[in-house]
Amino acid sequence: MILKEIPSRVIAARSITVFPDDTFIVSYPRSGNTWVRFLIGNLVNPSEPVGFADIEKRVPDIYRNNNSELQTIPRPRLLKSHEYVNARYSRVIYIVRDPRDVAVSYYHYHLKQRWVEDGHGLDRFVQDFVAGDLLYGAWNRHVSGWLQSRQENGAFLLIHYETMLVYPEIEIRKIAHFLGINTTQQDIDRALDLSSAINMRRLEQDQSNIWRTTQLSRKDIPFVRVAKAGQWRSELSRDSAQLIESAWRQLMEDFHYL
Amino acid sequence: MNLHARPYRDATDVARMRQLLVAGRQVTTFTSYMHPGYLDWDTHCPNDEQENRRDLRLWKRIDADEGQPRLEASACAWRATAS
Repeated sequence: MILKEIPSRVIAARSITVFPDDTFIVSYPRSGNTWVRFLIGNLVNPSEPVGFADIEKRVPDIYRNNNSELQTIPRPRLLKSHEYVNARYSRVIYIVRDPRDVAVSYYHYHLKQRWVEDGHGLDRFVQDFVAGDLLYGAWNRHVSGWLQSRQENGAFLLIHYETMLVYPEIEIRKIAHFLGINTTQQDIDRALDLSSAINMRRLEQDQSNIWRTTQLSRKDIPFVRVAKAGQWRSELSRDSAQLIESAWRQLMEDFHYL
Repeated sequence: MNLHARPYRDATDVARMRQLLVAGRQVTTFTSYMHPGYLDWDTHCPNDEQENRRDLRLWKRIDADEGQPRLEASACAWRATAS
């Protein structure tokens, strides 16, 4: 007798059926993954702007859809993932962001999703963040796992969130080249414009009740936040910043965050 | 302690179940724990209330001092089928 799970109860996540032509957009949470999903979605199909209402059909999230839903997506698929290094992923765009900014953004996301209570302070959250006691574990293991196993592989593109903010056009060209998409300057300008933080905030206001990620969440805390680098300087305590820096100094130096 | 078991009713139960996980995490440091995000995925992605009613069960304490029934535990059945 073979036992199998009823698929509809099980989100795709690690049990996803992977096809050889899949491209995964991978990052630790709150590192710019949704921004890149919008950029790519708007680049791949310039005639239909991406919104939160249809992002799960265009560049779906493996945690918000089950395997059957994802198998209806036309191939080659572009998929969002926060998984630790996974040898089954043949093509990967990996986004990395300063962990101090990640911590701040992930904290607000936890508040938004009601995963922590209002009284749960940022300092306490950072302790869990550094210990790896959150969804998707520890930042350093996530980043170093992917880099050590895949950086020399041609089917791996590393994107720095901070570089995307400063030179978005250069980075989007790299992504387009990686995906084999022929783009015009007009396509790139349009994708950047449609995926701007201002436009994404506007879309969030209109569509957050439709998108699975935000449907159940607090509406007084935005999903699209400041979309800037260095926000940790005004929000993290000195102790929390030092906790992160001392825990992951070498890796942060490698990325020039220190 | 007088516990009363009942099946899932509606989305307010998900909120109660999430709150129970958050509160449990707040008062105790477990060696492992269920992050509330997993609950959201299991109950909401996709949202299928019929499945939730079939697979989720809640236990309420009905003799709580405050006089109001209080959620004490919940469970999600991950069913297996023979083939």
